[in-house]
Amino acid sequence: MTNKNIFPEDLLNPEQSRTLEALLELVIPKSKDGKLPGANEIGFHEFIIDFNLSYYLHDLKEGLNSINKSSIKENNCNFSKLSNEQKEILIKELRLNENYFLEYFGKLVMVCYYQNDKVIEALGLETRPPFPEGYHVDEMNFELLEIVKKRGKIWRDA
Amino acid sequence: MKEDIVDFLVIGAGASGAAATWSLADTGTRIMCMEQGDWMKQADYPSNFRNWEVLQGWYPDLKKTDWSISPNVRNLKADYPINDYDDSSVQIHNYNAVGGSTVHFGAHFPRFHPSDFKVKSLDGVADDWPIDYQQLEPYYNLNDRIIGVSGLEGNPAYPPKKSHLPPLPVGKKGDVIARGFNKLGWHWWPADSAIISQPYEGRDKCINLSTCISGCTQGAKSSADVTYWPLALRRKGVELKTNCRVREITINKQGMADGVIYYDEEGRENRQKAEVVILACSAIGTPRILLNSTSQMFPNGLSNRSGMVGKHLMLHPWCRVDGYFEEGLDANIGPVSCNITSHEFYETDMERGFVRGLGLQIGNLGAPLLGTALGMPWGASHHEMFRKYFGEKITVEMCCEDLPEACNQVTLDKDLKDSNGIPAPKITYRYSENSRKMMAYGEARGRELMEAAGAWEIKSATAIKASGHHQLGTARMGKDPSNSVVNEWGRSHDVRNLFIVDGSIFVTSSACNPCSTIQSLSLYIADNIKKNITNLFD
Repeated sequence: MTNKNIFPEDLLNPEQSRTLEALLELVIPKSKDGKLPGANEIGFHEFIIDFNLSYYLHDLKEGLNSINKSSIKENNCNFSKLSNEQKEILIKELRLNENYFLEYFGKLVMVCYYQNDKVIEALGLETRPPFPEGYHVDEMNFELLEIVKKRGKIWRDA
Repeated sequence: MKEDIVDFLVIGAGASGAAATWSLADTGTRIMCMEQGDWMKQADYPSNFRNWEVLQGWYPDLKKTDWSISPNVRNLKADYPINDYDDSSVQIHNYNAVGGSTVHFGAHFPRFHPSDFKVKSLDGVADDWPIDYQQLEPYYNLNDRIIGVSGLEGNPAYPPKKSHLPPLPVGKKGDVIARGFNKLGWHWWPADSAIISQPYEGRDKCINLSTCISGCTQGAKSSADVTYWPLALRRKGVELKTNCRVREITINKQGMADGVIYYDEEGRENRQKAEVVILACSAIGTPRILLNSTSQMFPNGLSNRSGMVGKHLMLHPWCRVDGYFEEGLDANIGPVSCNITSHEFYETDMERGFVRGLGLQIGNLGAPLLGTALGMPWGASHHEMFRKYFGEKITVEMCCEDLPEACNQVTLDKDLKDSNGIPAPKITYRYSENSRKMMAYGEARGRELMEAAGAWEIKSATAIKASGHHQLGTARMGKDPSNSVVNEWGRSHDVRNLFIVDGSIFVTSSACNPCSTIQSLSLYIADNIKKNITNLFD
């Protein structure tokens, strides 16, 4: 799904939504060949709800406001309006100062992204749980053991 | 009303309790096992779900799940808290259910070496066991048959032994790492595993779900709930009571155990009388119950006249090295635990700067997508880096022998209690200098191996905190009642109708995973009880 408006307006105001979308795109942008979507295209809002993370919304709003505030302070401009290079510089600086919001947010984005069907398929993997089909693993080459067998016993008598 | 007295009361339905109950069923007597957890439901296991990686509980800061390896994080009704945070270098891992921690274990299933039972005689440290490999061997064989051990015969690190099923497939990563071992001239061998590689005894074979440590939905992992328990519960006289948490073992005027006080599912206090009590609650749970069982006769805890209950906790210091290889290994698929093992550094060589040794274990640490993604950079390089690392990691873990030290111990926490108000265990544990040297040596060898195998990047971690899977010691065996808790067949020195069959009776820890030895010891003790049934309390 594409999502210009990834959270309903009663949850995030328009500026918070723009900041979030810019941040998602910065964490995982669309791949150069276009096969893998950006993190701003995979339904972060649904993930937060499905993942039962409604408690996180408060922290999310605060974090987004804080990033935008830093952007205005450093660049006199909203975060969403910065160039890609400016965004990267600002986020890099914030992460260097152990920004808890960003680190946690980044982990959530990874979890959201790598459970998304579009992403899994684009990686050439199957969109299914491990059970019941399981997976095939080849036998290894046991001829490689000949050298170990030739060496003989290595345990100590006791 | 006539008092209900069972002949044998086994506390704990995990690896050792299940084996003991099954064996004692031969007596035709009444055997009751009490377990604080419940039966597992395979339909609930994470491998049934798309988000299995998160459900496994490896990322508790992202989502708390029922599958975390730490009872403090899970905090389920069956769990009791463990203070492993105030004074311990290692976090304790366990699972409380029918099957115990075998529900969660990786199922690497090695035996001890013969030398592991003679540590003092051979290397001048710790103590010898009061039994030896030869005495335990028939029980290793019996246990391997019931479990359905997969492996390859002829391992030169062991005396000859039978494998019941072919080894599990390892895939291309096996060839890659084997060439590294061969280049260095080091021993390696396909690992013995408690996972069935072929259909066995009514169970279907492993289908490489790669989710072993959060329960095997296929039922191919030989956890005690799918092996011993179905066999035991078919036998006359065997009863398994779940959701019952034992608070203490009670004694009569003669100082003999006469039963337990326990809490049922609704939290009601109950009593169960028994002729013989058998503890099978792990090296954390067993000393906890003994220390909570105080009386005028045993003011410092039951069976603790030696003062040894809780002492000599051993936890296998752990380190790991990850190597990243060329495209196409699919190294994230297959059984999670040890696929290939090396005992090159298992036996003592004092030129290494430490006594005793370590085992190398090549495994697949699961969580392939998230395990890779969480370490990847943000931004334009993310996709390229993810493709470079995903599925290309081979991990070697170093399981180091932990020597018994009285200062490493389980005591009762003065404040922490479980949901029934029973005092919780507190862990005091520090690495010894010998362990630190062993871990440093192991880490260096792991790096050497990855380099020899052709890794283009190598990462390592040592003294890993989240590694308290193997809890041993704390009620050790011995012939001398002044420095041990149980005798050479698991009977308490102080209480003649009290037995211990779990990992707490280990004298030393070896350098390998203990479940095979725990279950074999339990079978050995149960067999001795049966052999001595007519004069058991003499």
